Amino acid sequence: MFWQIALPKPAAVEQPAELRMDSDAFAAFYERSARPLWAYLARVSGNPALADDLMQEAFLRFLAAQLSLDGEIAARRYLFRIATNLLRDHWRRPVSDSLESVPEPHAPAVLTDSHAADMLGPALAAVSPRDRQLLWLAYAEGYSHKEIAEITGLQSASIRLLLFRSRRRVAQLLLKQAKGASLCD
Amino acid sequence: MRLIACPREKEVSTELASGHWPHAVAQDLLSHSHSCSRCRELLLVSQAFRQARQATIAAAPLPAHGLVWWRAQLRGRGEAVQKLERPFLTVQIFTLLLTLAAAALLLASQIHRGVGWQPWALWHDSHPLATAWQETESILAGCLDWFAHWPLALLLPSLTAVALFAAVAVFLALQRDPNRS
Ligand SMILES: [Zn+2]
Repeated sequence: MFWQIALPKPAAVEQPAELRMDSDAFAAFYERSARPLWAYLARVSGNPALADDLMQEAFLRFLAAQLSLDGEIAARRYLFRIATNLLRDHWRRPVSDSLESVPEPHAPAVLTDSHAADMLGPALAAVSPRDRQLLWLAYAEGYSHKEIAEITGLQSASIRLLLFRSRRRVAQLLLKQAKGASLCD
Repeated sequence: MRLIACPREKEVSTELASGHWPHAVAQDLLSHSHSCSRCRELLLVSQAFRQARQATIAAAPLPAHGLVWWRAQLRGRGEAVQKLERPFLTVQIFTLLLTLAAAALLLASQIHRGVGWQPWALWHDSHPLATAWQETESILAGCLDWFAHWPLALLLPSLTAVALFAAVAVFLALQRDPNRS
């Protein structure tokens, strides 16, 4: 098994190294984790093209990090952590230097057929990118405050407060939308 | 802002995560969730995010894993090669410096020998630069004496070789610039 060591160290994210996972193990891991990772990147950034690029980069860094992790759950958490760092780097970068010069829309514009996803879009657009990250990790991926702290590098106590505020805001927006929709019907 | 959490939020989250909500949940928890604003909020947001996740995952494009694997291998090899090349770069810079020093010595020796280059200088003997030049020349004079006796037939090919070495060293150093992607 390739999952055999402790959790990732912060520095290891940026350090290139030899590849540890064999091709078959990677294929299985990729199959299970690529779509959730893409969903996270796309919904948080609101930019599917950027999500494509960052997802690929996240897997490349994951493979280069010379880590074998304690189970697939830890590996996936590590992958989300790399992706979170990539998103943060993207937002810090001047617009003209970004990976893709595609202008990022204000509202997350991931198009899906689902009514529920469309309902969430405007509410997500109304909160900050950091709050979108926290909300997605907590309520879409089901990570605990401790796990979110590990992924984002924020303090658990801050996460609790930030999630409390942003959850309330999103709930209010969802209720408002639902009321608006029922009035239209 | 005061955090007023409901003590039953954890139970609601657990039931949601396990997929038991709402059909396989204890009646008292269900009734509580109807009356508690915190739990209602949690349910509303959790369900919206879970449905959005499912819908987005269903629409997610998935490049072949082989492509990502191949790119990772390629990048790994590239980084290994770059690591190996770093000492070469140091050697090249060192060689370049040595070559330039040799060229300077050679030129200085020829000037000392009296090829007649000094008249090109535009300053007078009283100028501070001229004084500095004379001092440098006299310091170099001792160690360069043997150089000064080189015949012109040997000097010209030597200068050419030194210039060529310098050019090659500069070229290779630029080729292996570690900042290049
Ligand atoms: Zn409650």
